[in-house]
Amino acid sequence: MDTLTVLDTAVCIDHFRGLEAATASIQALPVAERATTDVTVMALYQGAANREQLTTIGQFLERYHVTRLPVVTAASQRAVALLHDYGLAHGLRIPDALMAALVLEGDSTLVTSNLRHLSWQVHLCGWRRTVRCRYA
Amino acid sequence: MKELRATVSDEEFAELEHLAQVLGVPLAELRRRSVAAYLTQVKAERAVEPIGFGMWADRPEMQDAAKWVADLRERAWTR
Repeated sequence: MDTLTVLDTAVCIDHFRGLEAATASIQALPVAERATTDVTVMALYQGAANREQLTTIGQFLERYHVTRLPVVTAASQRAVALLHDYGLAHGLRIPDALMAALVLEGDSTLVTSNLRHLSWQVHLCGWRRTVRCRYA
Repeated sequence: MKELRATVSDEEFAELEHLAQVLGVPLAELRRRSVAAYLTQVKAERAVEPIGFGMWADRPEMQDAAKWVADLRERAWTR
């Protein structure tokens, strides 16, 4: 199986905002590598203003062949460990812990336009394969 | 015609070699077919209106996507 490239929430939002560079960066990824986490899907659903937008988000994921990564047992356990280690001391939140765990468990690469927010997590959690989106 | 070189992983190379044997074609033909298939896929994707593109363009709170995500998490996950 190909190594997955995981789109974070900000990249998808930038596409929905109409940022051409974000869309191009998604299209540039090989279909077999495109993925996102269910944590991101839930955040996108929370951003939807109506049912039509909810449907559009689903169609976007389907037509672009973006694989959805569910929070499987191993990732959940790893997220708990990350929160144990970094939650109190560094303010790691549950969604970020889940996303980090999913990326780490799959040995995937995270694509983000939000490296500033994630930089300390890259360091602390060994999230070393994180890459910055070219348009950021 | 131009020549195109490609670097692949050992696993991919082994798969391609096996496939070339099964199909009875040289590796160069598989590379040519791969490029043709990729170009077809990219052209098809770029030809259609990107789904959802710009649907949140009028959402001022989302102009900074990273901040919107951070605010959402702050609201949803603060004890």
